[in-house]
Amino acid sequence: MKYFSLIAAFFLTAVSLQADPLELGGATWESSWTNAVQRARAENKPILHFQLLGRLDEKWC
Amino acid sequence: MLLFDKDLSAQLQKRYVLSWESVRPVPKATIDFGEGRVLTRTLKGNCVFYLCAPDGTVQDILPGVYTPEDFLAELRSGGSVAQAPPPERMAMLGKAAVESPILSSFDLVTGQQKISPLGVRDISSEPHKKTSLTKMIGRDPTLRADSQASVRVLRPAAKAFLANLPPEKRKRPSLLTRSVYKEVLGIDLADPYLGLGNRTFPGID
Repeated sequence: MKYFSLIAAFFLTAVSLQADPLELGGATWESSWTNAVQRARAENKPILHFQLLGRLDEKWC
Repeated sequence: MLLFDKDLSAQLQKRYVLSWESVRPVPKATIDFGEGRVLTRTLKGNCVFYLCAPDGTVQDILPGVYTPEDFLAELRSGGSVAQAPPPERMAMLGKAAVESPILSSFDLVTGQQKISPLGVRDISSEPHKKTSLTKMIGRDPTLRADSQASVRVLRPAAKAFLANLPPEKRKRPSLLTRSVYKEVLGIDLADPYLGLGNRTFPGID
């Protein structure tokens, strides 16, 4: 039981980290497409979506 | 990197909801000198921006790297109207100066030109030395040259791609990720070696 709780906690943390917005150059970048669309609809703004190989928060990108 | 520019970031934040995603890990060449001294360089790290309506529908595509000035100008120009193919089709000029010698040293590139289905020639995936590269493109392979190549070569290819896309494929960027990378940039994301694996890698099945 303890083993499964640890695995569940790991995955929940991983999902949470993946969805956290990133700050870059003073701007906030949504890490979740669903969150981006929800915000865009609420704020009536277009979305600028960035795809890359690697991660936005890696120092070499 | 473009997105570290604070003035640009402020303008983007004001006008758009910003979002990002990784399409796959980026390949890296690493030299470990020992005692904590490590030199790392990413390879084939191409990126794509999508301008989308508030519901997520893709309206424009901006592949490649740009200076802040070129990027804002291209964002404002908008439009998925296809243009005539440009006479010059070479792109990834700055990347070529760094990546081409590395890829060549591992015998990962051939002498064949790397041209995407939409006609973009990725010279960073061809074997060139920096001196021959400078001679070939007639200017220094700087970010400005890369940005201009993105405007002149990648943007028309992206517009042609988008103009031929059925509406159901435009509903969100993830529906066209693989196609954009393959058709416009000539990068097959389904290939674990990104088109560089036609060699025998010792120790790899």
